[in-house]
Amino acid sequence: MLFASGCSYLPEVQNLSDTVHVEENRDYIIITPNREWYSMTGLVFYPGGNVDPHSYVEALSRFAVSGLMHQIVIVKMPANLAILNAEKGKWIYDDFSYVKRWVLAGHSLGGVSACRLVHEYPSFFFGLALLAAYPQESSDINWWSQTVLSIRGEHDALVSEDELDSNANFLPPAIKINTLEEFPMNQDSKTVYYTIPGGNHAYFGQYGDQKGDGEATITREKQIKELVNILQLWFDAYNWDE
Amino acid sequence: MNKYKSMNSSKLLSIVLLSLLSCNLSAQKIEIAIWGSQGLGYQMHDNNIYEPGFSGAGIRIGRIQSIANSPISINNGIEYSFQGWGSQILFNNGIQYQFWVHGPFTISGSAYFLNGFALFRENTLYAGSIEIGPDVEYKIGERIAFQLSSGIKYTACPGYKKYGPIWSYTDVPIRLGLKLRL
Repeated sequence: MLFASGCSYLPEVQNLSDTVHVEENRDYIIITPNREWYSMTGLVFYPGGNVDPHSYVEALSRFAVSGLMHQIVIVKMPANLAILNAEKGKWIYDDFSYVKRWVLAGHSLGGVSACRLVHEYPSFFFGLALLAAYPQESSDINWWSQTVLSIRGEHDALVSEDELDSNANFLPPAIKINTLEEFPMNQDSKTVYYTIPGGNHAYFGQYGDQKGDGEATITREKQIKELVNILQLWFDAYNWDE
Repeated sequence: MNKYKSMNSSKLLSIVLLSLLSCNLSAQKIEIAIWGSQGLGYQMHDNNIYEPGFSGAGIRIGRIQSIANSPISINNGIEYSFQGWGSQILFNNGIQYQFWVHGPFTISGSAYFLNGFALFRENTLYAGSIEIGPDVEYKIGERIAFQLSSGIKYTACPGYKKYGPIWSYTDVPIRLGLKLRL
């Protein structure tokens, strides 16, 4: 049982461009755009449960160099399970004091833990992006005054649309959009829901296929591109690049 | 003729070793311990980096076999723990030497050699560890003893180099345990 529950997904080979610099220490993987000036808003990311954090480096590197460029920090979790230390992200302001604002994001179980962090430290983050994730009742943040973005793949068999709907009352009120053109501007205290057509659960990272997941009808490349686009629209909507 | 002699010597050596292991071993104990590790540093690519911080935790279940009329005991067991790359299962073989016994207290030194697997789907990687350090035991009655131990532990997963730059850690584990005499 321990063997099955403790096995992590290894990352696939990450193809990184020379537009970013990736460094690492005991606690973080840090992705920095290779230029002197970049946005003062950073993105701190919680990886999915039992997924090696390096699996997200390529996808998040692409976001790092989109728009006005951003600092990205992937938090390394004990046993690759964010639920074991959901509050680890609270140290981000101390460890990266040169970044003015932080937006939090998490994939799957990492998203569940990100909700818990926002529940405990609501003033720390300017926004929350949930990739195939929703909060537990104990982390109810429907009172939160900041913006939430909830994204899932159409063929995600691990987090269904019904699950997101039935837990929507633990997040700020919903706005559902069908295309990126409908993305709303400055919707504080709202949750924007978007489903990536043809996407699935595992294609938010690069760790192969996930057990129990649905079959995507788009490529991983396409899903990552959609993810980067919607994150950039979200940052633009709040002028976080300024 | 020489070959015959050599075979006889091997048999004799085997008999001696088996005698040591089977006849002179006594007083079996079972050990259950949990620990947390304070990290000292790690190897990133080929560089040694000093960076203290929490480095992992785990649980060990083992068997301690004392050698009769000797301060030495042989320890074997299994541990489940997590390190920077994720979860791992290691099988330990160790030796313990009692330095000092006074009333309910015993102070020993231990050395362990551990081999096992970092747990990844489809491509499990080899992980290994060596550990050396002191062990303090406090007996409660004839069968039960509490244990507090520490030391220095080096753990490596060379195959992980392909996926991440940090592939080995040097830690100070603080271990709390219970020993039960069978």
